[in-house]
Amino acid sequence: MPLLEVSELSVEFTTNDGLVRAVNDVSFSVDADNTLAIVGESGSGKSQTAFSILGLLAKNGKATGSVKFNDREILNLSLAELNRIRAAEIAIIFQDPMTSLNPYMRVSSQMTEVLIHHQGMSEADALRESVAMLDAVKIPDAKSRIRLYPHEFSGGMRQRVMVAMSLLCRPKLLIADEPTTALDVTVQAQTMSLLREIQNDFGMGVILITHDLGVVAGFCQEVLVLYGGRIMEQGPVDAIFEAPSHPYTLGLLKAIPRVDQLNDTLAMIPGSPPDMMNAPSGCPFEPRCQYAIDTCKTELSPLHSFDNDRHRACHRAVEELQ
Amino acid sequence: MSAPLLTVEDLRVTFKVRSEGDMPWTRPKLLHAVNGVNFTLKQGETLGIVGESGCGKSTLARAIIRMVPSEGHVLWMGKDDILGLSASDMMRYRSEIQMVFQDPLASLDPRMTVGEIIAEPLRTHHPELSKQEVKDRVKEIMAKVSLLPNQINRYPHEFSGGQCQRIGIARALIVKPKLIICDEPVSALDVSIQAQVINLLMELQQEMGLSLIFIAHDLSVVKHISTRVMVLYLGKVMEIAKRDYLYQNAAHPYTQALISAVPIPDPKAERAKTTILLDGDLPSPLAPPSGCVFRTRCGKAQAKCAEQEPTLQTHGEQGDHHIACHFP
Repeated sequence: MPLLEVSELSVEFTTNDGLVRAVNDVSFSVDADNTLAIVGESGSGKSQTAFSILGLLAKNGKATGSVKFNDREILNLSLAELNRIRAAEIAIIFQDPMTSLNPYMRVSSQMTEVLIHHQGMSEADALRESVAMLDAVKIPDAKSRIRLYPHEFSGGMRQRVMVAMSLLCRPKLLIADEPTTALDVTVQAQTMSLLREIQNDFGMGVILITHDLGVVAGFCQEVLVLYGGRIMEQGPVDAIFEAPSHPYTLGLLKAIPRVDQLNDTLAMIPGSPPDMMNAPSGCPFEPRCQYAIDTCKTELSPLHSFDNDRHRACHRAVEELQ
Repeated sequence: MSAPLLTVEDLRVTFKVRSEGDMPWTRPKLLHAVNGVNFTLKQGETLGIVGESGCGKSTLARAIIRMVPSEGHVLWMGKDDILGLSASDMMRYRSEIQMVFQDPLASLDPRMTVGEIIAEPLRTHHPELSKQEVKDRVKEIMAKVSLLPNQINRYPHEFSGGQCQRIGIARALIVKPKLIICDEPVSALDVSIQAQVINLLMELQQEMGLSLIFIAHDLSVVKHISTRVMVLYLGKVMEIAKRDYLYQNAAHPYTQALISAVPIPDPKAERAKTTILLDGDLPSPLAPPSGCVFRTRCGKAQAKCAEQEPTLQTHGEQGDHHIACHFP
């Protein structure tokens, strides 16, 4: 039984300009010890997918479908019930640690708060546990540093504080929403190696939301490629990087320069991502796809499986994409 | 051999910083954002500048176009020192050197139409042109950066990030500069759009014989676009070399760590490579380490590194590989 099972998840936002369908019919599952990457460009619906799992959508958002955590339906639970799951069972790390930590509170009070609230610890125990957790994420001199305010830490250190805070209640699932996007490469390497270590120690399932295919290649086992709120391709990381089966994934992989190779020209994906306000009726990638045929304009390809554990949504056969 | 387009000699930018609680008579601390940088840029060449945030790469760019006060020499075509010119003499060079900024939307005036934004440098530097001439030039340059000329009356918010960056590039190109300084031009863009903008810049460079200074923290992008690459750390040059040479034979421990930290979008290659993890963070630029500024995070550091500052020296046989390290 998978740790988290998401089926037919859709997210809609009611705005003054009309209905925006940010996520359409997305299904996936995450096992304990496993890492799933959700990859996509801005506006592809990757963050909204994650937010809906924890009931963190904006007020005008509505999620439908099913999200089962340990075989229990958790989508659209009441706030009281969700609060019991948040942090204790499923934790989340956000992109920008500066805006997700409270600037007016010392790190110590922000961290102990979690333990006192969720586990009913005494303040002294909570503080001891928090210091131990900061040690675990390799913050030097944690005992005195825990008294500092968030702005007194550097960007990389702040992200470590976020990681430590999310792990306080030993969650079974960690959602990391672009955890290293705001960091330098050297600090990104530190943070990702820390996350990997911690995942091994704690045996958590991880959902990593990112746009960086390099981070996916190094850290994840499964990947979900989103475009225009729909799954384009889904499967094991190795297989997808070896032989991408969707024109979008293919284009993305060719469009990024690599530090270990010299490519003379970068392949381009022409055009720009779809306007979700007037989502196309056919395949969302059709206007930018060099392999598009007439059917793609009008008909959406269903996600079909091939090669055992891979899935793709494309009208063209894999062999035709070269 | 003709003189290089740009010769930067011992460029220094120093900020005075007052910390909270200082008495009015306390001397402000000095922050050396750019600390004695030397390099040359040839015509048609692209110099990539990389380094972590806070290493002074943007300040360096701003110093060259005199957006921040600086000391040292910046020679244009081997003759005039840009830094010593009066404001009116500098005007002549402002059309030769243009800049493209990081945040595509924030660098465009939201109350001006695209046509007005692109025309502004032209109207400043060539007031003699008639309205029609300006409009023709704007349309011509818009077509060049793949913007539709019928979008001339739209406002920046109606465009996507990638299109806004094209507007920024068009604005820089319209005065036919010889040098464009690009400060993180693609880091705010999505992957698929990033490739479009990089390719556009490279095409334009070929076509118009431009020189580029390309600042980025993404080493793969810098590798793709640059002829030579310069690595900065705490305002100092650590290493500078031809692109291919640097990425294959990086000799400075910092460059090696930087390159090894870049994730490769290929699971097999990514697992096979060894990442050199640097300890800790960038030291405070207000109190840089003695001797070699990188020694606090360097795996090869020895006693000598704390005592003596390494100077930038020629390394290897090629003659164009320079490195500041005692133990390369």
